[in-house]
Amino acid sequence: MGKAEDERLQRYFDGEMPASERAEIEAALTEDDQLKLAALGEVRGLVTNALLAEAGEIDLLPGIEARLRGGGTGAGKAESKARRRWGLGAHPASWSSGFLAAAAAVLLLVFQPWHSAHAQNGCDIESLDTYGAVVTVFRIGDTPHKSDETTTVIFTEEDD
Amino acid sequence: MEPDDKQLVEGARRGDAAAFRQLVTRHQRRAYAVALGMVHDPDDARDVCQEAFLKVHKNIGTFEGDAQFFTWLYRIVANLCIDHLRKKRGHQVEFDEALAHDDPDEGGIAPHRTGFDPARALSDKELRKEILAALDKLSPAHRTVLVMREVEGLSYQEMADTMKCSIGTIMSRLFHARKKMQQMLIAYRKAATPAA
Repeated sequence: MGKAEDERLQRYFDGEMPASERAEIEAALTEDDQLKLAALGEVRGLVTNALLAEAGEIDLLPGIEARLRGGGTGAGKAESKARRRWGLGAHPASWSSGFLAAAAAVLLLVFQPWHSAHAQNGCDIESLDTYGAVVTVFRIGDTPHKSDETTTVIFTEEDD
Repeated sequence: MEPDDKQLVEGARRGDAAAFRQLVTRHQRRAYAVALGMVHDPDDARDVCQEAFLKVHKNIGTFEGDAQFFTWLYRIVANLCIDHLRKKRGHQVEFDEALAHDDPDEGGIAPHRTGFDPARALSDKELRKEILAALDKLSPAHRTVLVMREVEGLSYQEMADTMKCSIGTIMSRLFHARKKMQQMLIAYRKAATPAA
């Protein structure tokens, strides 16, 4: 049997033919045709079940509601893009301490709290709070004596 | 008693946020499964689905009550996935009708079962991995048609409208995709089963 006959069998399998043609096919179904129909059903079941199982208990609502609250500004989209950009997993629990250390290093370079212009009391604090994980960089020092300053980095991971 | 989709759509149209949330909760898993099958990246699939539900939220007033809500939703998801794939470098050409239509292998569907019980795909991670890897080997055009049909249950006409091509092209792509999937799964089965 060639491709044209099989495409007709496929139309039968998909319910894409009128009743009269269905009856015609059913009257002439061979053993091979029945095996092919079973094979098509098997592929359908395997693909559908595999994808549904991979989808698991996906929860899209928080992202959708965030984007609705943001007037469609893409908050939820930004969320997953940010995760991707930083190499984060789908869940904060999958974050590594390596990432937190990298984030702290970036903070140190970008904010340079020890050079802060508004350090009146000798204490600068910069904090990055994302998805329940907080990286805080602060410096306590004796302003008149720069050599005595201390920079401290604190990582805090919070449960959802 | 659980409200049906029609009642929830009516509620969402009136601005009932709980009704909209229930529509999302009810359909998100299948919508995500479809997107995952098409774009093959969990984050992209999530983005696409969120975008699809936002479109639903925005346009629910224009939805015709006689149509099935899930068909409408899945077409939105499929269209967004196609846009997403088209935007990705390297995938543009694979949506070209002539190329995607081309099937050098003129053979038909093999009259053999793969030997895998479909229910096993729900629990067997290794088998799932193989199925997803096989899907990944299909061109985006073939994968899209297969997922739209098998998971979403879209008709040939709906798929042709979504992909902006003829029903003949849809049938040919679907046939090719199924045949390739069958071949790959049979090969995997043979490799996984030691010879007696």
